[in-house]
Amino acid sequence: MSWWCVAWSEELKGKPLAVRVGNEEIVLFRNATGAVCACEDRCAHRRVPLSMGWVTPKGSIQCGYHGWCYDGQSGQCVEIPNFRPDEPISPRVKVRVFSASEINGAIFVDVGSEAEASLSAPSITKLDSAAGAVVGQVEIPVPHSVWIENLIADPIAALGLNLLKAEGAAGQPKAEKSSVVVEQKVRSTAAGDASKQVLQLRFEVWALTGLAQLILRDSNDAVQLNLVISSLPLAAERTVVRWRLLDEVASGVFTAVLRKLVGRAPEPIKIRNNVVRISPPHSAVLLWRDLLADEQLTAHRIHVSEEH
Amino acid sequence: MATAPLHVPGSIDSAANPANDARQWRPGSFALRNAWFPIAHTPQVSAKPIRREIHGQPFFLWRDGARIRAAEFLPYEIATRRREATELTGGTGEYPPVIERYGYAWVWYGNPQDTDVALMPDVPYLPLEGKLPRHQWGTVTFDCTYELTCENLLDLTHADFLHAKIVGGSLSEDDTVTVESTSETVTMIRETKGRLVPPIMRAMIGAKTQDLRAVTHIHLRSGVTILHGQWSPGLSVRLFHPDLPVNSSCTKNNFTFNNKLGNAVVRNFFPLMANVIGKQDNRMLKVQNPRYLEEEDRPDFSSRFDTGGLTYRRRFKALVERQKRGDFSYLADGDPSVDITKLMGLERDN
Repeated sequence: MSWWCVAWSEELKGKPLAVRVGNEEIVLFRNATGAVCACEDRCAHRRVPLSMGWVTPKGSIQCGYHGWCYDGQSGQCVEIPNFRPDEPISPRVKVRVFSASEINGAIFVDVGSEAEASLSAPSITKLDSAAGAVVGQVEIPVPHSVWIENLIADPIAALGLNLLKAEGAAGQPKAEKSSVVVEQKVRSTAAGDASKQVLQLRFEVWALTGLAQLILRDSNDAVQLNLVISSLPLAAERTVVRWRLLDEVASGVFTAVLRKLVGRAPEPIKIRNNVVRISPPHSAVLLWRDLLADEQLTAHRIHVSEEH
Repeated sequence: MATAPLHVPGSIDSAANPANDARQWRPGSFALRNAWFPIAHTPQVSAKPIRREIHGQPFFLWRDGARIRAAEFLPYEIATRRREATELTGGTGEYPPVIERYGYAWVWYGNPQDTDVALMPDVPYLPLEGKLPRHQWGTVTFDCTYELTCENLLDLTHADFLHAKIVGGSLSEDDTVTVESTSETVTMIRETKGRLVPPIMRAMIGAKTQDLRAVTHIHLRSGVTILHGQWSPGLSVRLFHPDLPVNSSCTKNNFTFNNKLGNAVVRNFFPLMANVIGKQDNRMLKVQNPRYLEEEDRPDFSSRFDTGGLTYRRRFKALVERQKRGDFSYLADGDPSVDITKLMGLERDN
């Protein structure tokens, strides 16, 4: 099992939310206490997606077809409409549930083989649930692994952050537990940013899921950019890239311009045109491949179908 | 008629009920044959040919003088394309004679040598000659295989959620389902008491609660479905709902209403709701369809309200097995033309 960042906190309010990781179709919702629940998006009765239903006042999720209700923590069917109050429901009637965790504005779901113990969720820096955070997503016709290699090899190019230019050679990539970290100096080329300041870029990619965080700091160590990128495999040749630009960064002309770039609708980050096959392998990519080849991690990979 | 177990207490454990075993339930995978299908409303058929399908098989229909003809090809292509003709026309390209009844053109889908007019279903509330007002009939398309639309009609508890604003909500004092079946048909009877009347109907009906007796009678081979809902106080909704199997992802419902009793405004308003109700149903059916056609073997769970659907699956599978063995005959209990007036809780209108 591994923790995938499937949504941002502000996306999950009163209505159920459908997400997909590989072959797993998942419905997210908040129960009566506000806790995030993740269930298989499939009613055990007649297979309709539970995400087409709603959350009851008691906090269970109700299928929109025949009204069967499920508890989000246990997956147990707790109510069948039109049943008499004393009418029993078999304890075997349940949907699969996934462990879910909400950490600093990001919602993680533990997906993968149930036989394996879970890896710990990635620890993202300063991912506060900031009002006004810029979020977006784009679906790209590229395998998840190819996209992640692009991200690792050159995040600026992959994300289309053309306001930044590499300053000198990248530092040696480092393997940290289950992630790859690349640090590099970059220079702002934003029009209107007279300083053309040199910034320190730190880019971390968690090996298994490709969750990534890009942090830019200025010479005073103030955070100028904090961008979290979650990449979810949909099928063998399809990946959805979701991002969240955090708001708690230092103000300044450069940040304002960058926010405008990232927040431009409808396709803020020009990802699609920037994906290439990485060849020959980049040193950071090799490091990532080594991490993935680790037996412990290999067991946690998820299944992805040819097409959906 | 054989009677299926009634009032199964509590939810049914699917693993213990082979009839509900999804590993053996593959809708859309077999084309049952040797039956009459109401393929089009007769006013739609003119001298200009129209194209329809049953199980992916093309049917061109046109009016030739007083009679309707049906062929695998356009009329002017029959002679030149005869070599492409299938066994369903005995290699001639032309189907057996079309029957006009109840306002429909009925075609025989099956072995031409077995064509038998005596196997036409009985529809007690439609005039034999059709000719009902235009607002009482129409067509709704569902993006799924016809077995799913039939199951949808056999578990009317879905209406309490999908169609609550039109037919009323799920709260009632009592709610029971009984099922009867033959080797060719399944009949589900649902009786509820003290049901809440939907707000838009309350003023016209003059009551807050109603009792409902709803009957769904389905012919397995053709998907021909005859519905009768008796609301008290209120309407007698008589809906002929043939679920025509176009292919595994399309079902055409050429419906006809012939409502009686109750408020005349409501009676005539009901058929206008068919498209709204159809869209609501299709929203669910079209997402269900790939999960039944393509998904891995995982059983469904069911409640006592699904007794009709489970009986349908069991009877349908039995019929498929017989036809796979080459037996297309009708058993003694399965005469589709049998009078169903009493079963439906009706007086004969034709």
